[in-house]
Amino acid sequence: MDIFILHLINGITLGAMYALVATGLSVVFGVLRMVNFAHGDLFMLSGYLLVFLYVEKGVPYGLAVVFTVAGMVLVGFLFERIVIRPVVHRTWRIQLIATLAASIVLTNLAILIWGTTPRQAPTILSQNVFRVASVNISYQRILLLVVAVVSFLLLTWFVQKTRTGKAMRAISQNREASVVYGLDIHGISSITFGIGSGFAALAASIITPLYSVEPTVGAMVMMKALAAVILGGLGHVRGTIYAAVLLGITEALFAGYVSYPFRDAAAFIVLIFVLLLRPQGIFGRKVSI
Amino acid sequence: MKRKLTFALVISLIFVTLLSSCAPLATPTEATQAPTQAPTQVSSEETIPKEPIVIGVPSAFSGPIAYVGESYMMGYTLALEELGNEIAGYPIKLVTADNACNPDQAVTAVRKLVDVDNVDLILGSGCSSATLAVMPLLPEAEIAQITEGSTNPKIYDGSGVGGNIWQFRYVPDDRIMAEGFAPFIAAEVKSLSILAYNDDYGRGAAQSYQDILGGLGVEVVSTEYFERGGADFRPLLLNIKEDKPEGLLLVATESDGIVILRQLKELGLTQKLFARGAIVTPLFMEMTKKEPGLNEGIMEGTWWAPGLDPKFDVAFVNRWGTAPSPHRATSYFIMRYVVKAAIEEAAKTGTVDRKSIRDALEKISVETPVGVISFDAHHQAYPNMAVSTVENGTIKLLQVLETKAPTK
Repeated sequence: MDIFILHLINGITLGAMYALVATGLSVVFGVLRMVNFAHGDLFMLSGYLLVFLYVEKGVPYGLAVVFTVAGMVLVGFLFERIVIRPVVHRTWRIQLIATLAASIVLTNLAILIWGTTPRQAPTILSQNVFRVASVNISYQRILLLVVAVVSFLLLTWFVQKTRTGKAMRAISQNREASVVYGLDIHGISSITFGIGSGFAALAASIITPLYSVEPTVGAMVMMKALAAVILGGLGHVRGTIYAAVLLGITEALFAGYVSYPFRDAAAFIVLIFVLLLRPQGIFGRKVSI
Repeated sequence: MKRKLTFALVISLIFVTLLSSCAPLATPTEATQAPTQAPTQVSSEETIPKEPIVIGVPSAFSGPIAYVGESYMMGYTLALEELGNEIAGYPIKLVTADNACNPDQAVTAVRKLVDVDNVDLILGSGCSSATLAVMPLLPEAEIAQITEGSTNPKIYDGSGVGGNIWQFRYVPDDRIMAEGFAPFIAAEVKSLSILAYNDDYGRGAAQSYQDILGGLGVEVVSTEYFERGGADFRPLLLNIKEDKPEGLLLVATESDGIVILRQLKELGLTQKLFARGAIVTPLFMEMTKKEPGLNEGIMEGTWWAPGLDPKFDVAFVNRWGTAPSPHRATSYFIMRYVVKAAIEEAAKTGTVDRKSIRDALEKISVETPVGVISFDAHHQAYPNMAVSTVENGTIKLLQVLETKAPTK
């Protein structure tokens, strides 16, 4: 029983990690109706920015996280202006090529700038462990859970209560009608991308001290985040979060009890199974033509 | 508007392609420079410059262990610079090809080196899975490959008298190293779990230690495998904790080793730790300088440790400003001694080409700081291996062991 609880805790923390990364992706899809294949690379860039500030410049960890998120929100604005805006009205194929191309450029830029050796950014929290009974969990992982919950609540409040959030929802529901009503589509798109990028940065700032950052780390993160977005229902943020936790728990239990090397396969089998039953994802709405 | 966008996309794609193809070559370019020192006195027959010898380096230059490919290039480049970028009067040119440590890509990478770059010798292919995949291509292309880091025992079985006369290996394999290192493990623990990469390197090493440790009275209670570049190893570590072995043998390189050791401490595993890969290395210490003690007390048996060649240790840091590692050292020794000796030997025949280099590799016997290097009937070399540990944050060389042909 003890070991089951430990695997379950692992799964929840893993799910929280996927959820943080996937939320940004889901927000962007919800508003802009496009998948940003460079989202994982924004995560990777955030990791390097954290290493630069916290490890190389000695900025205190908390401040480094704030600067990383703020910096990446700006990068998100720029990214939307340079990569997204020119293709947002184009077909999905062009959007796919544009974001994939951006992903390749960012990965190779990282190789050129920082090389290929993985970088570490351990914190006091990642090096100290909370122990109760047989449960051992680093304070950094507890921080990850807390940040995930708080940031989701903040995002929900922002989208439900603020003018900008309501505008995002309006565009998400009917882009053309929003234009007719005079909403600043470009401005809202920029803010949406800033939020998406900010979530990637928040995720990277909390996760990098637990693992490491190297130029291709984004590809692995992106794979799981995309699975969570699809499983939860494209563009459905709350669904994405539940799906991410479900994927994390499935992966941890399968790895613990069945086979570690095939844990990714297990997560994707769940994805396929759910999509067979509900092609629109767990929380997505059925669309008929 | 439509045309402009299409044009912009095409330009960006071309830019991306160029960028992706040139990135991994960032380090190698320095090694491809022609020699800068012209001979002061030139005889009439030497006035015609010799054609460069082109050496192909297929390795992982992308993916989670891209730093290993880059590490090999650092060693080759340093050695070439010490040799004046030429051997026996022939300028040496290095050409890389990315195999991402993947068997499919490894075949493509070697085909590109052989058919497009027309290389004279291959130094690769890094990972065991990649090397095993390209071995069948070598006889067809009639080109020799010296393997620098693939330690799967199958390579020994299939090379030289094993059938493939074009395959040579510098590093001792895991069966050979296990015979040297396993007694150290047996002296410390009576039960052990093995945690290894889920590829030919990890599986070959795990099997070798299982075979030998049983005969030394050590029970291997479990063997677990994981992928390179993984993030969450805690399910595996929890299972090992449940198995309660006295020791744990970790078969991994620095990048994954750091994450595993971090999670191992988090979960409170107290097993005596052993390693076969690149855990007790200066590069590991450099990568974890913000969390000292991560590899404290771990005992590792592998083909290189700092102190085997102090001159190299200093030269590497001076040249690159970063710490050496087994991968960085092995490529240095191969170029500095083995390739140099082989090309000099081949030059005696008057023609340096694929065949003469292969024939020369069978003949050479060269003194190096890690022992005498020559290739046996299985085209296997026997450099010394080292057993080392970390004490008070410093790597301590416990013993240098001579390696020999496997007994089984």
